[in-house]
Amino acid sequence: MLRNRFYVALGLLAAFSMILGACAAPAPAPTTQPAAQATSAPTQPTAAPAQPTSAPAQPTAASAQPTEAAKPTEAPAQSTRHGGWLDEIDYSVVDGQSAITQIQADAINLFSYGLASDKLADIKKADLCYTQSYGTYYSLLFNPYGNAKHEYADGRLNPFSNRKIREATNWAVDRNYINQEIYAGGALPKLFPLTTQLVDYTDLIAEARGLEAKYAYNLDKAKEIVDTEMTAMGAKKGADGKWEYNGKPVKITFLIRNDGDGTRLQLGNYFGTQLEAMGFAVEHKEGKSSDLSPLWIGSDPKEGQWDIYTGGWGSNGLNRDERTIFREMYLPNSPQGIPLFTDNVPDPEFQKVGDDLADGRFKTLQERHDLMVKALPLSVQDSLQVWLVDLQSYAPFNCDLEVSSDVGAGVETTFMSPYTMRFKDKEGGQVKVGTTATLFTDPWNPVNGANWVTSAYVQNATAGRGTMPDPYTGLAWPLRAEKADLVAQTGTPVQTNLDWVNLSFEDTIKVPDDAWVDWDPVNQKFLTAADAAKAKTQYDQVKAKADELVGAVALAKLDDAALVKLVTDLAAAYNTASGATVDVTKALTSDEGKQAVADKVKEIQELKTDDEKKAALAEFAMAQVGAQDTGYVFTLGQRDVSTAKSKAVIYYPADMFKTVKWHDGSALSPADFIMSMILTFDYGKPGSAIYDEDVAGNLEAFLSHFKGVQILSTDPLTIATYDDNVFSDAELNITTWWPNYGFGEAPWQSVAIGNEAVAAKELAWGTGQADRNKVEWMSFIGGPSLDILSKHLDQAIANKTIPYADVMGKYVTADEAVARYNALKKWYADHKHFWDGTGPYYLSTADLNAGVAVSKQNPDFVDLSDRWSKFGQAPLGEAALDGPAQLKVGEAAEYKATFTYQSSGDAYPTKDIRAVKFLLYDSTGATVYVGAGTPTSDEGVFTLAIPADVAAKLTAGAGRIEVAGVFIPVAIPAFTSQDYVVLP
Amino acid sequence: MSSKSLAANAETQVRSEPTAKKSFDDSTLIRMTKYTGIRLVTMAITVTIGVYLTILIANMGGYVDTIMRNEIRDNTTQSILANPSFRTLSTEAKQRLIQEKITSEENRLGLNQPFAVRSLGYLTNALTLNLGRAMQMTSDQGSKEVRLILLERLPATLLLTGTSELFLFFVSVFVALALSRKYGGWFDKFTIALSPTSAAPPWFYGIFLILIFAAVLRVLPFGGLVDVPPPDNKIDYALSVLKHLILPAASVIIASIFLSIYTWRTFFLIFSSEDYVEVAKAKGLSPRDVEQRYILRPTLPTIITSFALLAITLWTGFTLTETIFLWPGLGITIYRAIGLYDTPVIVGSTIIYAYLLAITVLLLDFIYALVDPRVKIGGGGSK
Repeated sequence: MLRNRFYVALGLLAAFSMILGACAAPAPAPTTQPAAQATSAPTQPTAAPAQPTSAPAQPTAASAQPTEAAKPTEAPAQSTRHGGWLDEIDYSVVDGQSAITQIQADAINLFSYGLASDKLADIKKADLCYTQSYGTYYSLLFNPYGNAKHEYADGRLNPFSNRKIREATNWAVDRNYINQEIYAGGALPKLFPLTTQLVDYTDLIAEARGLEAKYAYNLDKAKEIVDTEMTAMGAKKGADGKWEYNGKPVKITFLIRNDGDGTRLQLGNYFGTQLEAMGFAVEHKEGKSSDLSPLWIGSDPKEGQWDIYTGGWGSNGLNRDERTIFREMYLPNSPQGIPLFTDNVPDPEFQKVGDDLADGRFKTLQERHDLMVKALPLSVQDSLQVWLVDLQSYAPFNCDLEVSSDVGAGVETTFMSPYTMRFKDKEGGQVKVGTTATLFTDPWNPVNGANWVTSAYVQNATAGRGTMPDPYTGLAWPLRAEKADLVAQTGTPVQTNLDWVNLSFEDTIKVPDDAWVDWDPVNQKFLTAADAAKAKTQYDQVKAKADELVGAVALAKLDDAALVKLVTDLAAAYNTASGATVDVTKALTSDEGKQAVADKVKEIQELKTDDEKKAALAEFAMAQVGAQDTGYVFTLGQRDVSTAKSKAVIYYPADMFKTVKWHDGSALSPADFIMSMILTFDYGKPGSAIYDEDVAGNLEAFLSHFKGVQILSTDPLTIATYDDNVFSDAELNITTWWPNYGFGEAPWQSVAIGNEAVAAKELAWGTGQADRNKVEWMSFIGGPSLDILSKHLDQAIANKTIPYADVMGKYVTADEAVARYNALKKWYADHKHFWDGTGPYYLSTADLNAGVAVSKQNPDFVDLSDRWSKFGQAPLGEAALDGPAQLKVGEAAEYKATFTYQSSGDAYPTKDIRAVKFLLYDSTGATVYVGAGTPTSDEGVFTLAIPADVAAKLTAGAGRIEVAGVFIPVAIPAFTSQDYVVLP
Repeated sequence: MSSKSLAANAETQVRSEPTAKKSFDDSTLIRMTKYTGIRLVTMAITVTIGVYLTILIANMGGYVDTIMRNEIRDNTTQSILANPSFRTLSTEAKQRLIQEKITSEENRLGLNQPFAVRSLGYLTNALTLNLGRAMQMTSDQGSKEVRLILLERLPATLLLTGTSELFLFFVSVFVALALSRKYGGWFDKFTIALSPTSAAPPWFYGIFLILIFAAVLRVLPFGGLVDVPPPDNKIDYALSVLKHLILPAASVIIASIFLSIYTWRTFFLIFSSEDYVEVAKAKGLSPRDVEQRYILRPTLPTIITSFALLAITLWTGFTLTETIFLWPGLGITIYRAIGLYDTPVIVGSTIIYAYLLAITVLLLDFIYALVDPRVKIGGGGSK
């Protein structure tokens, strides 16, 4: 009996302990003590402190150490090794939750996908190294709709249609507190849409820090403005202290996302509490993306189904030019095109500044800078979105490894990462990389395959390129390219940063007649600038004829028959003039055509003036004839390709076609580049055997600025590209035409057999094309695609196929083609996949079910392994300040700022420091002076001088000096600050 | 599992009541044909209703169209705005591109058709086992065919579910039978005492097993299907898979074994205390004869039912356990399909389960009649 009781007790104990274990909250990550000023917990808004916080926010520990790279090591001896530093890289799918433990247990060496900001403390605790990069950024997005009385359609008040209330919410958000409490100090407080502490931000560093000081947390100030504005809008506070409008409570519907990393729920709860502190009743509507998008995207803002949404936006690499962000994130003409943006009514000045920036209406970089300076405060005053944090992503790894990472977007988007990853103390070895389950989520093909960063990370190790993106500045270095020339139209704001690009200006840049400007998919040949000029002439003639025919139409008696006759007559005239055989009868007599004609007649009849009616008639007739024309008069004829705003000439080395080899053993050839050019056009052209309507828009967008390409020489390969899009950094304007098709690198023969399979409607390059044709989405690495590709490879060998023979035939012979196909066949036989590249590693095996990819070193790679060694870790800087703790009013003073490398502590060369600025803050946190540092040595030492006239304006009391150093080799600046006391 | 089997047994007991005297023209063949026909029709109706309900639920009665439209707009807009290739496009060009992509994606997913029409298409395809193409998902091998998406995950799923569930079933039954003979013994009490351990799900034990055997002892892998890099040799590959199977299978087994034994043991005890068993014992029959003739035989329909239902549930996988161990099984696939509102994949897995269940239930009726002389096919229907 006793034993029975014992067993029962044992059983109950076991069950109870498990339930308790399951219910227990996870151990909290160690957090830094929140900023002293943020004494009020978000759940206790009434206890919020009245005093403003000292501002601006100090960069957090995380921001001061963006890449906690391993300790510096002795420079290795000159290596003779070619290809990757490692013998093998094994990629596998790993659960991010266990990534740190797995690294500690040596199951993996690196978790490349990166962990969220709140995991930084765990990474440090585990004594692992890590890279840091920008990730998602969060905001509070407001419903801006309001009539003249700031009401929704049903008469409810929308406080956030008032810009001043939106602006006031900036003071109601303690970004430091959010960063410390929710993200354990691993994020960056964010006030602007610009990426905090990256290129544009650092260019505006004085203005940005000043505004951050101005908008530092001050709930009382927020309340004061809200009280004033709400009262002015006719709202009153009820007995319970809550706002009422027309006798009803002003209830804020707050959409809070609870999916993703889960922190938006905490952000929402925090801000909901602050709103309640300001006297609003708040209804929290929590949900995942799919629950809330029908409301904030899908509903009409004037219905007022929501007031605030916890917005989240993605960062995609190190963006050096964020001038379009103001239009995108605030203005009614935002390309986002959803009602909440179109209903925003910005300050006209903000609208103009945003438009000028987005449309590039500036002639010098200084003008651009001035516009950005104006836009920053205007954006905070608008505050359609109130920005909260720039999240950081941390990729942990064992400290015996060296890993480089794009500071903008992480290890997996860093093309250079596989080129530099190595063990510190040895050449060779095997690295195990853990990543997410998106490794093989979609099939890999180079033309329109998997678009996941994890897939691209593995693919990058196998690929070469014309230029190498700099992971720390976002600029480009020559990889296979040797040098480049950029000729820009005079007055174009562009600058050169690196010496491999020669920049010059010309008043007019003419596109040569023989430059290729477009592609004829039916006859499979390039169209030249001369063809374009001819097409334009023909198009203008047809247009003139259309105007002439329209002039004969009796507008008052316009009916369906008259419109059909107009179109038919125009088609006949076009056929006569051009020799084309356009037949519009079928299109016009179909049910759809009849309906279109009837609709157009009705639409035209409703127009007010005859001129409008004539223009609409001519436009319709031209569109109808153009739609039936299989030629290029109506497409190319509408483009003006006679001149361009830039001409970029890229020069490849003379021995490139001898030294660079594909993994299947074939030598790189001009045909690989030509195939890349053809695919740029052919895939998105109606009439092509491989046409995919999903990419037609991409091609249309490309053609809106592309003006032409010309092969100047094939030995050495020299290519000139004409374009109207000009980035302000010269290096980013160099088009390489490297045979990388957007989703991977590939030799021309691989693309050729893929094209054959697509043309035969047995496979598709893209997912949409696959669904429409009811075939498989092509995979070069597995599944049913392989047999089909193999079959077409055999056919190509048997037929000695030269794809696009009229063009490619000039660059490859039938025998050379067969040799290429045979090389690919052998590659497939050896490796059971078609993934072929020129990179420092090759894809050895891909076990798709198991989620494992293995890349091995390519010993035939042309470059030595150490070519990119200096990029092994980010050249981040640290700042130190030395100077008086006391200042006297009216008395000049000097501080000394010293900049060193964060990793080694060595002096940061002055020549690598672009600018040093310092700011003085008074006791309220307001900026009282902005000055520039003066270099006093070559070793990163600057003097910060406070002139007597500036000191005369200081008021007695506490103050602070902050210095910021902007570096040339890395986009992230270094900050530090020091407190002082001003004596009378 | 056990509750299902007991319920099925109860049903069997009801239907195995002695039937009324059959009429002279009620031949066995006609009776069975009639019974089979009625059962097939009712099952067809049940399956049709069940599958259509699944379609309606998976699509929230058509509201998923609204969700998907907004998600498409959001995703498309963000991807265009974040794409460096499009950064310098004019706003109009960006807007045009975004709209084209949205339209194209909506058309691809069939959102240009009313949901009612599409739902009937899904139903027809499902009932005819034309599983069609997934809307969003692809198989690991890159195929969009639902058939391949499901089939590809089947081996790993069956390996995990089959190993763990079959082990659980047979061990539970045999240990329970033994315990029922030694009722009140220390092992019996030990099992009863540990049966509450099944309150925790397999993933709960999975986390502990990973911590102990992978993180601390480092003798077994954290998860996945095979070593990294995968062995080239097929035998080594198979051994590697088995090594990776140990922890997930163990977590499933540990989470259920004691409760399962306890349930079966209680079930056998009920039969062991029947009068006819006592009589058999009194007659001096050996314990083995008593067990085989007087305990196992009357419980056979229940055991078979349990086994049959177990066999078809193997198909569904263990979602959370697979997630914890990154085991590439069907559980994760179906869970992901639900998250992506990928109706063809959801319906595909449902229809296969529905057909398997219907066929199993029908076959069980006949098997009952074979193993239990008290049961007669269609016997209850002619009353």
